[in-house]
Amino acid sequence: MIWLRLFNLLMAVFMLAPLVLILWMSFTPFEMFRLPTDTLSLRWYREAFNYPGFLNAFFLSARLALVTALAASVMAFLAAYALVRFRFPGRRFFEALFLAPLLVPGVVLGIALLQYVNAIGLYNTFWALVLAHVAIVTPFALRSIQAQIRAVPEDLEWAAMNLGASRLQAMLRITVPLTARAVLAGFVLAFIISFAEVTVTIFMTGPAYPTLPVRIYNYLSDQVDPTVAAISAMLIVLSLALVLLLDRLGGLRTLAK
Amino acid sequence: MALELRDLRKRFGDVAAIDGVALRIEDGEFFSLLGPSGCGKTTILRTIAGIVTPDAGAVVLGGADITRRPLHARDVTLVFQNYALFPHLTVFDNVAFGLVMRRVARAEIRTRVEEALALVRLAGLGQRYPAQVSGGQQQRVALARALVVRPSVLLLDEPLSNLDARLRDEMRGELREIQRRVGITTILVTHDIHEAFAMSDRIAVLDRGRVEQIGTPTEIYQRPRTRFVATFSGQMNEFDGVVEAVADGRASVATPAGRRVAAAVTDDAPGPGARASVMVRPERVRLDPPADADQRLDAIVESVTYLGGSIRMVARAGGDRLLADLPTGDAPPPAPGARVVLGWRTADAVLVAAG
Amino acid sequence: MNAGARRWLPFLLLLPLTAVLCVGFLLPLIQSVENSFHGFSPRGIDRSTWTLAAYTKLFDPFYAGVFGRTLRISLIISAITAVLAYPVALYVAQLRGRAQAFLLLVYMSPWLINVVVKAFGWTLLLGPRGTINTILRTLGLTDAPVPLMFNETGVIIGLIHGHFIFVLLPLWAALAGIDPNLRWAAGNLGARPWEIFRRVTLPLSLPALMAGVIINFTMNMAAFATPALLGGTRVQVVSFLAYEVNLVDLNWPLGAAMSMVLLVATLVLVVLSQRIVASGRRRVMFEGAR
Ligand SMILES: Nc1ncnc2c1ncn2[C@@H]1O[C@H](COP(=O)(O)OP(=O)(O)OP(=O)(O)O)[C@@H](O)[C@H]1O
Ligand SMILES: [Mg+2]
Repeated sequence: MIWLRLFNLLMAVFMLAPLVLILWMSFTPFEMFRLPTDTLSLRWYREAFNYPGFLNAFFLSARLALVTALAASVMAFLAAYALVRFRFPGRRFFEALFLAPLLVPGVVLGIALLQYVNAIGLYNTFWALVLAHVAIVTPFALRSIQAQIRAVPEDLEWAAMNLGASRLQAMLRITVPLTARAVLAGFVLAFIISFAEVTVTIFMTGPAYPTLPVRIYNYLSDQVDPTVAAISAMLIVLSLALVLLLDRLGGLRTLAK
Repeated sequence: MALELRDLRKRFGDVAAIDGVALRIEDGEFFSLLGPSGCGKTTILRTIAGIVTPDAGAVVLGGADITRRPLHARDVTLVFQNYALFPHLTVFDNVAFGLVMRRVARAEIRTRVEEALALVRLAGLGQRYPAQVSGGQQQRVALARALVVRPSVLLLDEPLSNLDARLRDEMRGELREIQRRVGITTILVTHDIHEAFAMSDRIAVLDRGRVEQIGTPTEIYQRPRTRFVATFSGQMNEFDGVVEAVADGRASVATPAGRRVAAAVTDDAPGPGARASVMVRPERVRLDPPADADQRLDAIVESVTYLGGSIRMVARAGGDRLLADLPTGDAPPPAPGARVVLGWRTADAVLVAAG
Repeated sequence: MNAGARRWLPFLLLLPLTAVLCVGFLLPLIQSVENSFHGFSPRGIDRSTWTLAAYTKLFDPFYAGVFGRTLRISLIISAITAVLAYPVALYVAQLRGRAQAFLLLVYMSPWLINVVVKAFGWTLLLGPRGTINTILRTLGLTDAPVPLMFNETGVIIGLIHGHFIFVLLPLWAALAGIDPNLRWAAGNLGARPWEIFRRVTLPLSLPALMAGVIINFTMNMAAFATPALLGGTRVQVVSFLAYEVNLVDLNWPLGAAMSMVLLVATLVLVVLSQRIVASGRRRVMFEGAR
């Protein structure tokens, strides 16, 4: 038992080490890791903000993630409602279609999208990225929302309709409020995933739309200096905040399934 | 082998699951722990098996204190309430498990497992997985698995509770039959009085982690010593009041309504002045009682319910409500509203302390 | 609402997402299949010709070599991850409540953080002037930097870290789901702790382990940013090569063919892993079925 605990501690250190080191390095003035480590500075944060590429990329990523999350959570709610509440021909096909992006490796989807958006003339546009990101995040959003709709007894809607509400009114007044948290959780999850997406994006993004992860990737391919540490540190904090929010909304549990 | 529990105690937080239990189970005896849900039956069995470590007290098996002995080194096998069959092993391998652990030779394992499966009438099902046999068959696999190692003591934790009524009846008989044939000391945990009565040599009735009474099924049913045992072991007519006099193995109790009822008592019964109840089983109450039924009262029939084997009559006598289980005879029972005389023998009534 | 409306309402609700996924997912993949069978000339993809040239090209030693290396590295990562994740899962599964939730969050955190950021973190740790080498040098254990990066070691470390959760989660769920009575029953029948592990716990968790390892393996095969940043050009893997083929050589048929091979392999493995989990579940869940 003591060995298991010790081993676990080691593995936890392994898991957190790169993250902790980034946070640490972002606050030192040095180019590389140094011992002893006793000087602090905000040098890399200044450089990060002064480097225009990163700031622009951050806003692009935020905008992309926001649009993606909004579109995906609304469309996923409508689709989840149909999948849970109705029996119709082709139901399983639709469900499979929505969950399928989960099974397709990022490189494969990236290559397919690159060639496709070029063919239809959407290459190097914002909306091409939105299209790709919605496809990537949909399975995650859909699953958490579906689970929540299933948890709302259909009888509640029948009761509302029995009292004179139409199907649409029943959905809007009963099911929507009762599943709002799950939809919000789906939104946050979609945002997190879209904001962090690299593989697909790197294949299909044109020069006009480098998202933040792509920007960092390109920067790191050339050089390694702690400017990236400052940005990464901010991203880690942002991700952790969003993850905690997601946990609060109960979304992390559906993720674990 | 004889098993003794010495002042066993176990708390979970502020619940005393076992609150000072002392018992001695003789070699070859079929002993039951009977009590309502949550009274600590499972905890006692798990303590004997070594799954739960007691806070105080001792488990003594054949004279040796095994309280601190590890789980795997006790010669006591448990049939779990949910059977706990290993889902990844065949029926045969499940039964063989204990023998493999005991390093029994392969050839012997084969014959012993076949024997055990035949004993529980499962011969031929050895190659199936637990999920592929019925609930009753799973129960017998669990039994075979526990028996095949020839343990000193066999522990059964409500082994029949998951079965339907018919299968349960059959299995009761089979289980008792197998136990007799193998002659193994057995402890059965149950909350079903009929099960305990049908199978046991002796029963310990438990309530909230304590032993209320130990005795043969007849003693428990006919001479309950506490109110809890009396009411838990079946229906009772109760007359609450104060003991007036005790003499010649007889006590009489006066109820607040002024009625006097008597019961046969032993020496340790509540004395004069104590608050106590006289209790009598519904099936001891007779309609138009014969001469030896010395306790009598006039009553008015409230309802009559046909139960198949008997007739349940509810009658009112002054402020008291009486239940009587009458034999189904040729004559029709009295109709509601009829005036009747009900009675029973003093010897059939018991006296228990109030509260 | 009338019956006609009820019939088309679900399709109306499904329409937006279906449309988006058709354009953003289904049609691109279908086109990939098509493109992989087209010819290639220096001017780009030649949609007028149909050929298996792209697929045959994958057999030449260079491309086959990259596939081989990717396969080998992915297998090594999965094997090490399995060995490391098992004790972790054992420990996490026996924890309760908050402690368990906290540890899961710790192990999940690498997955929830940007791949590029993680790779950068590893660069800081593993680089020639990185933390580990600095510490080793300061302690006087080495003179020259130990090469931990821009080689397979770096890729392996980075991906063990990045894809750990895919083995841990199913394994943890399986271990936590084993009825403790089964272990007690084994002990009651004479099994010592090691025997209980070997004969009950391990076999009951093996399907979940296998399933997790397969998912992990497919993730390793398709990883892009981590191998690119930690392996550099010396450790070329399939996805990195695919990037060059598509965006530098602009050889789309070949790129499409590479992705098709990857996709088919992945799907086969995923289906396989679901079979394994399903068969494991059927056995473990028998108690619920009664
Ligand atoms: N591991 C445990 N942790 C906390 N409390 C427990 C634990 N095991 C048992 N208890 C408590 O101890 C008491 C006795 O439990 P036990 O399982 O022995 O009852 P039981 O007589 O077998 O009941 P049942 O007939 O329902 O199986 C109960 O109040 C129960 O809630
Ligand atoms: Mg119990």
